[in-house]
Amino acid sequence: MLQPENYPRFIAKALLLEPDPFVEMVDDDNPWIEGLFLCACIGVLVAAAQLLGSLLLTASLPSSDALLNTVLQSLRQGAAGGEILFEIERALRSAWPLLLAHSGYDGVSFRLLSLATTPLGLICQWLLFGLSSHLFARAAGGQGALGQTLGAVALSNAPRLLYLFTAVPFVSVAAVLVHVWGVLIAFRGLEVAHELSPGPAALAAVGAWLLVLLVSALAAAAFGALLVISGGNL
Amino acid sequence: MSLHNWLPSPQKMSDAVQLRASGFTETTMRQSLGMVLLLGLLAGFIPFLVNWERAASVGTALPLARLGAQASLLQETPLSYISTYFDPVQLGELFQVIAGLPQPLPGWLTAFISALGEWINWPLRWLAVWIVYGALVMVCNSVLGATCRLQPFFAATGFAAAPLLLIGLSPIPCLGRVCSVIGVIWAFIVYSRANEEVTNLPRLRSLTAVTLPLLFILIASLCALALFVLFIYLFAADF
Repeated sequence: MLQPENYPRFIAKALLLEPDPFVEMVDDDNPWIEGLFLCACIGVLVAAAQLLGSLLLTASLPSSDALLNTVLQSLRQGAAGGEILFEIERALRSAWPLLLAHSGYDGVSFRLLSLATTPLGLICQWLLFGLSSHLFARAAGGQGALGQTLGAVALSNAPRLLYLFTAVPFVSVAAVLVHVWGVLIAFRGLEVAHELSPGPAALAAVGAWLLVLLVSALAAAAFGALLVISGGNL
Repeated sequence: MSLHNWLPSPQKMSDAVQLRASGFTETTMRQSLGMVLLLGLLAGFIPFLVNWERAASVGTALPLARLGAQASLLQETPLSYISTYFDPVQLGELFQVIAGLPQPLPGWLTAFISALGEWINWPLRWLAVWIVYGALVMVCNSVLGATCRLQPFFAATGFAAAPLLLIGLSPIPCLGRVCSVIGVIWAFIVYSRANEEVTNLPRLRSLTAVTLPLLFILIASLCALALFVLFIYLFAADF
């Protein structure tokens, strides 16, 4: 049975690496559904905060068109000319929309889209991380079921709530903090869900994280290659 | 939910910065987390005021105000090695024009929002160092034979944030930099002492566990820098 009212307590305790929320998740009648709903909630909250941050950032800075035109005008007056200038301008124009989308600056429509894509992406990542960490944990001698692993590992997304601070423009949350803290929480979750000793649980958590990192890097490389092939116009 | 649950007592903090063993015991990770966040906010308060004033005086966002301030420096500094591609004087003028572009929000509000964002970054950066560096140190501790758990480790090492409060004085000319250096060195000593106390490792091993991640980060940063320089060189050579 879904218990969203318990999520703030679960998240606070998971961030402090306490075993209680993992025990409650594992003992739940449907741990993977709790995990799924928790990931969706975190994704929607983070996306909403980033949308607000994007609106405020856009209002705090000059319009992106004015900024790009100023830079291009300055380039045209510069030492570079002919073919070089053409290449620089072309590269800047094709990279500009990506820069805007990534930073949220003048990219409100993209952020609106991320209200759907962020929870979906988070759920996909959680499923991949949960499945791989379950396989690693079982290989290391763990006894937990897949549903229990998914429930426990869902709490490793708790540090992503730090992205709520990005509702204030110019706040940057280090991705390495979110990932490392997430791995530490997953390690505690696997210890509880699979009754593993610290060594194997740590190896399972780090191994699963490396796998997710590899898949993400391959996906990013594929996207980049697609972008290069299409000449920046996807 | 009382304040005591989220912060260690001032006596504990005082003991820890004086490297007394009693300062590193009987503290929870929750209290250390509260302490890191609170001290990060306190340390960032003076820089926040300075940043707000600096950005408000130009009437723009802090990064653009900084860009404008860099412009005059750039125009005065001889940068012949990059002038093949960029004229420093022209680049300075570009920065000044960008800093002067109008934005939808009033200047004072833009300045406040951007300075606030920079302020919030203070505790977030401290949190990142505490967790990420701590995780690396814990790996070294385990390799060197320590058996302590994550929670007591993070609870003890959080006290390194107390001397870091001195970094908050960094906007003061000259004295601020001296205070920052003292704060960082003092924090490192407190961190090493906390690690030694919580892991029960011999001093030399404990110090090795605390130092190895620094070397790892240094080597990783140098590799990243070398890759970046190589990328820039190849990009420039292509043109």
